[in-house]
Amino acid sequence: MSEPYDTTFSLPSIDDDPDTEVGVLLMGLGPERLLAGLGVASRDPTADPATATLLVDQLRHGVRPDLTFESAVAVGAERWRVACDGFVAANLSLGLRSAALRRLWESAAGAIAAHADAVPQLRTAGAAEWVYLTACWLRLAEITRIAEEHVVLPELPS
Amino acid sequence: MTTFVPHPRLLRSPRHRAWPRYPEPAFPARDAMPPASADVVIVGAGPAGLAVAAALWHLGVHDVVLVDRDGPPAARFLDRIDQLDQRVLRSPYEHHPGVEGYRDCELRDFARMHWSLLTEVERREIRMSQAGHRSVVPVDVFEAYCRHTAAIHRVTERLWSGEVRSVEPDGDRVLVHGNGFQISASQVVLCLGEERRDAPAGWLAGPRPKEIGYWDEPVPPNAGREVVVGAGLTAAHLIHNALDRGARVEWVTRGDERYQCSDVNASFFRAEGRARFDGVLWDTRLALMARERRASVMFEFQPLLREAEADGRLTVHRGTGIRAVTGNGVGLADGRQVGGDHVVLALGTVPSIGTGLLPDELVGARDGWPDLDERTLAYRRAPQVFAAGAAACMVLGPAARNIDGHRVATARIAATVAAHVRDEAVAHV
Repeated sequence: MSEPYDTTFSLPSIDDDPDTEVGVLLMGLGPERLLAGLGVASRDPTADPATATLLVDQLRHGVRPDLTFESAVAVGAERWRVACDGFVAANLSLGLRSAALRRLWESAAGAIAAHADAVPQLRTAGAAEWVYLTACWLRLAEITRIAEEHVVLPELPS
Repeated sequence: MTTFVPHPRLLRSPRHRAWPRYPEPAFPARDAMPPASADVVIVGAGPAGLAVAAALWHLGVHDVVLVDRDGPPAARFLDRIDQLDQRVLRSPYEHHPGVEGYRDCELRDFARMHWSLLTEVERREIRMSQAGHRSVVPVDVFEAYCRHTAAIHRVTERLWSGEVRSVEPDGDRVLVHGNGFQISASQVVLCLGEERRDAPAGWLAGPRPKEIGYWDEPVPPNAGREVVVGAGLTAAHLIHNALDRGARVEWVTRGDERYQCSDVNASFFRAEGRARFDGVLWDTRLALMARERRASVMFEFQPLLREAEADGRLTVHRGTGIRAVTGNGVGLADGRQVGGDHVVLALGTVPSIGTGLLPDELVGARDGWPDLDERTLAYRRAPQVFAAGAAACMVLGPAARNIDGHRVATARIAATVAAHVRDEAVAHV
């Protein structure tokens, strides 16, 4: 008897923008890490998303004398509150969420970029800040809660 | 039945591409020599030593000193790979999860973060890995990941270049003697790796002539006819490189060549495979090792080597032993002579089990393997000293020498070491 189902499948695209690949990866990280990444990225306009992410990894492990994970989260929370005003000013909402992660990412990142000129709070200094702001927006409720509560749970013993 | 032969293009990852150097944390000035005392000394900063150091860091053991004869983390491992012009690792992405239980960045995520640096073939390998299939890892990705792992676990600042000469238990301490230093440690972890296997006595009559080399030595670029002895991945790389140079190759496999995706049967990367070594008789383990830890070549080479054999650039001499190796080639046991300008011996490796560092009676070597406690990987006769890497094969199975085996060994060793350090701290208080 022949197989009644079509068992062929395709793997996700390999040609998408590199920022989309990082973005989809960030969608799986904890909210504290995203806020810390936003903090790191907003302090350094030249940072690319990989640099910001690996710096956050260094902060999580407590190996940088110049910045702590907690202070990066605090900077990120501050930046997030400003961005939230921007989302309101731009009347931006996530709307219907696609189950296709890459499409969801592109749509959210594109919306922020499209409003950046008109809404200063959504203007980002570099690729890392834009990517992390998008990742935070996609986790709006969690990020807002963490940003408002100022709670940073140490993820690692050190 | 589905037959899967991976494409040779997987072997062609670029090497030494411009990879970003991320800002690494500065560390305080330190002495040129390692400190005289430490909670833990790790001898060897290859992939196993790095894994142990990272795990200890997460368990709160920070007074760690690493000593490595080649300096930076994984330097010797990478040097050997570059000597062979090897571009990918056959330990797949899922074997590099970061320190277990601490949500460290996994190797696959690290690679995805650098999407723009990867070729189409390398990106596709990541997708294969995400879909649960076998993948190969570019050496460039692995090298950058090692650098990151070393930086975030303070390995870089705790690592000294040096040659350890002896490891000597002394009461409740262990003295590590090296070239110009001595460290008194509470516990020592030996991550010694493997040494190349020399030619059997009798192959060479007298000193080795310059026309005979080993796999970890340079091959003369003008060798027009190269004889490669060995049946493993190293031999395959040597053949591949010689063919690329335009040389003709005589391949002496001694047995038949075997092609497989991973170094050992995939079951040995899982608990049920390791269980085949757990608590079973020594002779049974020896038989399993003899059967399972055999030379094999990555499948990707198969089409290349078969094509070269078909068009006469490669001649394979299968199924016959070796009588002698001379500057003119190899004499086979069946009387044939295989001639060449240069002979390269790729006879595999021998695990370093602590012999030469620890006194022989503490290594307790049996059939070339150390006497280790199965739960902790400590030497039974020197319980403050542990072994990770290939030396643990008779406990963890043939995959102990692989990246995945380091992960398993690390979990056992780090938990034991950290508990001991905590106990000592409590006793001190």
